[in-house]
Amino acid sequence: MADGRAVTEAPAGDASRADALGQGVDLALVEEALRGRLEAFNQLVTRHQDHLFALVYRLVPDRDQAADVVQEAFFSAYRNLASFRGGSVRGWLGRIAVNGALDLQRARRRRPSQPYPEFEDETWQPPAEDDEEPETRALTAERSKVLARALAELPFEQRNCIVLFDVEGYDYAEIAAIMRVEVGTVKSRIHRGRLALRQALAPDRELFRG
Amino acid sequence: MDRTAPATHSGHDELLIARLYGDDVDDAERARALDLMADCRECAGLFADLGAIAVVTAALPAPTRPRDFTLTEKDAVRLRHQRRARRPAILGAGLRRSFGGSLAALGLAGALMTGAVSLLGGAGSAVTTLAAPDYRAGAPEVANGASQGDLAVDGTASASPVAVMGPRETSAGVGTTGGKEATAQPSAPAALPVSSSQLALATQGSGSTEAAAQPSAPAALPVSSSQLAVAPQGSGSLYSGGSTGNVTDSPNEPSRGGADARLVWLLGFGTLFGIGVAILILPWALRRRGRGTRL
Repeated sequence: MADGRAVTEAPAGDASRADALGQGVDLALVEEALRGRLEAFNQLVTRHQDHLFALVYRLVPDRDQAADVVQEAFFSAYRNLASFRGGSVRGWLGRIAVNGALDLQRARRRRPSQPYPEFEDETWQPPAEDDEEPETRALTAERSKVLARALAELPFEQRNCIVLFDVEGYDYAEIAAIMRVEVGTVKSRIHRGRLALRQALAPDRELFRG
Repeated sequence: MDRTAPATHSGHDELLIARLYGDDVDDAERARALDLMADCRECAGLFADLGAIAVVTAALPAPTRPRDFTLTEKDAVRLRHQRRARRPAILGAGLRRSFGGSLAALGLAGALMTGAVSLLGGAGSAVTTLAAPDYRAGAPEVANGASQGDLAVDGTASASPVAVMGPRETSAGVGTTGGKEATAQPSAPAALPVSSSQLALATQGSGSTEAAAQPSAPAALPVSSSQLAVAPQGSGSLYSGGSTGNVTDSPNEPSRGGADARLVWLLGFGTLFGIGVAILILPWALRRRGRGTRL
């Protein structure tokens, strides 16, 4: 936990091999899509739409608005496919989607109409593991729900940084570039956001201990 | 280890603990944070909570998406059309920005230069005014600057320059110095039959000379053509003299023509600047207005 990021327990070698394979497939699909094959682009959409929706939904806790942002992100990606300069297609799509979400947040800040709906989304359920005990499964589900609600209540600057850093795995510099702020600002938002998150989770602290 | 009671925790720096968790501390801060965690149960609990929350946050399950985001053939056609339409628009936007920026820069630079010249010119005139001789006193220096052939007397480009006369002797000689009016002194009108233009040129200073010739009718003098008195002083001050039917008329206000010219230039550059700025911001303003109307 060198930078306060939670360490996943997946084997590093397998993960990096899968990433490389996935990137190769993505790049081949981009090549095909650039030749005018819509099916190739739609395969890209199929591969990344779950990730993009999850990402945007954490930034914009409104299902309809998040879905619109993701759809617009794919439209934008298709329009600007020729401007893709290589690298990670997932990262490229993620940046487009995050920028769309940030635009929406700015628009909401300029014209505050109504707050995000109460976070009672029953679809926010972790996938059940086959070997999980019902009790563990229920605890995990409850924990995720409480955390997601607490995240949604954070100021959006802090929420963006925590989601991008802790959930999506961007580093400080990448987040700073996306959010167009200094790296120090990103760090400060993450630290303060974590403290605020802990404060918001205080009534349910026992869920997260032990 | 006897840790402090939670009551004293309120004074502890929680942000420092959070920064320690994020590995965003220097050595001194790290030592201080570790001391806090060693001495305060709450600070240690805070550090543990941050770790637990980060683990759960990283493992946050993905919400189910409400719909499929694949593109239809219709979407693709529309987006391809937009892509084609956007290319010239992007090119046009670049040209527009370049053109507008250039115009605005040119206008601003010109306006500043005109302003600067105006200020310097005003200062130069003022200095020259102090140093200028009084032509009404008939100072012969006036003649010194006039070269032969500058003046045609009796219609001939004779070698006798009118400069031998001082302004006092010159029937329609007009000299003005700076803001000081030098009236023409019709001392001996009949003595000098001037049939052509009469010019008393007093060159003082090194500025460029602008002259406005105005025809004057030979009422009091046998002056058949224009009378011109030019006293260039400083930078391009314009002096015009002579008026219809009366050679004794005093010259107009000094520098007025120059000021007018500068004003014209200033207005021109200002207009250029305004057009440039308008070209730059008009599409943005229209877009903003359209967005405001739509939402």
